[in-house]
Amino acid sequence: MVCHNHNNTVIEGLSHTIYLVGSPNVGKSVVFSKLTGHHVISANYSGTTIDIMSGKLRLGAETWQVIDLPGIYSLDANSEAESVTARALTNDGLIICVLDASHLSRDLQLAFDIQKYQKPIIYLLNLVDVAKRQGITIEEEKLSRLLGAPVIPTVATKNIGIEEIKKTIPHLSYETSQKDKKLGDQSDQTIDDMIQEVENYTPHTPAYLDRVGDLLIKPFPGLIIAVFILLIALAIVVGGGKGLRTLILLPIINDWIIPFITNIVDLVVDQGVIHRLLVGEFGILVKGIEWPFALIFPYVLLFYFVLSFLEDSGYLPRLAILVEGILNKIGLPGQNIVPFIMGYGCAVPAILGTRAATSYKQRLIVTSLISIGVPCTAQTGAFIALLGDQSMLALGFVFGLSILVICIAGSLLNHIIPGDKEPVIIEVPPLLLPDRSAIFKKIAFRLKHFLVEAEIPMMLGILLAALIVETGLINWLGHALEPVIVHWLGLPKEASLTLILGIIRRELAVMPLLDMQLTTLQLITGAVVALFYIPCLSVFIVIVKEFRLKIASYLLIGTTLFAIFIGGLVHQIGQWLP
Amino acid sequence: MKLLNCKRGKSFRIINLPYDQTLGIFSITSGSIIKVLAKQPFKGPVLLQINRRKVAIGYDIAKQIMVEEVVSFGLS
Ligand SMILES: Nc1nc2c(ncn2[C@@H]2O[C@H](COP(=O)(O)OP(=O)(O)OP(=O)(O)O)[C@@H](O)[C@H]2O)c(=O)[nH]1
Ligand SMILES: [Mg+2]
Repeated sequence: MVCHNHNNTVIEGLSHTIYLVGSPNVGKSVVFSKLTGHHVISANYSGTTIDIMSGKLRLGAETWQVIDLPGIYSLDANSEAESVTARALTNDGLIICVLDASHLSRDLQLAFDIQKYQKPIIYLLNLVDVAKRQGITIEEEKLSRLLGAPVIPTVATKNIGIEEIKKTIPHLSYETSQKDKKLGDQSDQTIDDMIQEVENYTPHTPAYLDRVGDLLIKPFPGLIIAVFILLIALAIVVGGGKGLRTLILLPIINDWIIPFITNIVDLVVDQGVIHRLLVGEFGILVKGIEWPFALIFPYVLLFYFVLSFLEDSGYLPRLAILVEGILNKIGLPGQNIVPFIMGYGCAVPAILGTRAATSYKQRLIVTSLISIGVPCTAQTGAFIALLGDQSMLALGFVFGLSILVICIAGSLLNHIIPGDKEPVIIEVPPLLLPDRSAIFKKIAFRLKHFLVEAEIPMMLGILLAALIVETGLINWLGHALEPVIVHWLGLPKEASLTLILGIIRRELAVMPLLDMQLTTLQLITGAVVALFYIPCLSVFIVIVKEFRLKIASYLLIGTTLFAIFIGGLVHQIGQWLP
Repeated sequence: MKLLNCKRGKSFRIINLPYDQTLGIFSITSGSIIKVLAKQPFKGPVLLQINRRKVAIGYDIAKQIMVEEVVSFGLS
């Protein structure tokens, strides 16, 4: 494995190490992916990279280790990201400092400050296409003289300048950069003077994208457009997912693949326990294919398509600014809408993503809300499979309830957890037209991740279900949980299975209900329990790592009790309704 | 006058602001010239333009910022 995550451990100081340093959102991760050929997630807002990533770059006979760091505004080690960077830079190596050509005045101070590490430096002047669009050109020779180091103009997404970087790296040594350094003394000139010298700005009517970018962020028409974008996103994921599922995937899987597998198993294995484990009620070869691929995959695919597009366009921070006030009113941490939206994909990257900009209190609130009431795409797919065909109203009810609970829990947590309100300062990135191949790569990356992360636990979960049913443990379990499952929730005894499987993955708390011939009220009750029930095992592990076991345990117990309480309420109230 | 009472589209000079490290990074400092681009509803953030950068700052900070109008010479 070439590319791995260092998890804050100090990197051993190979002399052949290259550090990518720069302000947030200047394109470091894109440069990393282009240099190493290894995809890391990049997105058009600050704080995408939250951990150190490393990969290899082969240049002739030599291999360099390339390290992608979180973006920083200064070297003061004030934030988590800044101390991670400061720690990494104590090791030997050379620095590639990425500057934003359209915001040079912001980045120049950092460009000088980074020289205190006394390492060879290459400066990249990235995003020159965006700068040009805004009427800005930079004279890179002059800049190079001021900085006393090579400056390479790049458009990382379009591969422009990447070869030049590879050519420059081997020639760079500490001596050469020191020799030039006598020119690169900042002391007698202010940053403003230098900008005057190297930057040419021709004001012109803003480009089309910049005009749209400005409109999107005005309350009018921004808020109306936001509603539209949300509706379109929903239509793509829910409508498109249903189409993919019923028109393409279900027929292929149920009419071709599963009968094919069943026939083979029939030939090879005699009727009996093994046969039932493979292709019976919870056969891993049946449910292990049908559930993930036919029922869940379409939603995961489409959700990540929409999310990747929104991320790369630069719309998400605009949305955060637009709705911060409103969300704050109803108790939600509005400036953290990005990890929140990511939570509808998968809670794991969302919770890790809260590291980026927020205070401990904010992180804890967002993490709790995601754990309590935000279904991941896999679970959403399961809900749609369970409820969507029976009654769209029921589906709407479950999602409405989820939003209501999130708002109430948000307000409560905001009052309970000590800590001040965090100051909101959000930089607006330029609106970009997402690059088609970049989006494609990103979706492929996430799908691969989903298949690896989800398929194995799902198979294990299904195997566990089959074992519980086959060994008769289900009767014992049903009996033990009868007061809760049958009396309080009004579900059949076998539904106790969902509480066990739901520990492994969120959607497994829903899937077993599919074949139980439940009434609509029972379906809704089951869905509500699954929705608020504990987040999956991987989320629990992430919460333990990011916070403490104590907090993770609170969440575990809290969500379990809450899920059963609310589920019971729904059942008890539902019984009295016509 | 208060930043919150500023008209959109005009330029103002900051004369007083609360201390916050991040503001400095975005060159929102005493003396810098800013333009108010938009104010979000429900006490949402105020969108400022400083040089050519656009930064939204939360209501709680914005309400503490005092500014004065920049008198622009030339045709008005
Ligand atoms: N048009 C254009 N877009 C670019 C260029 N370089 C990067 N981008 C886009 O800019 C955005 C930010 O890129 P990232 O690589 O995530 O930035 P980063 O520096 O790693 O950001 P953090 O990890 O948040 O510090 C992404 O949407 C990229 O697709 C470029 O040269 N031109
Ligand atoms: Mg990055």
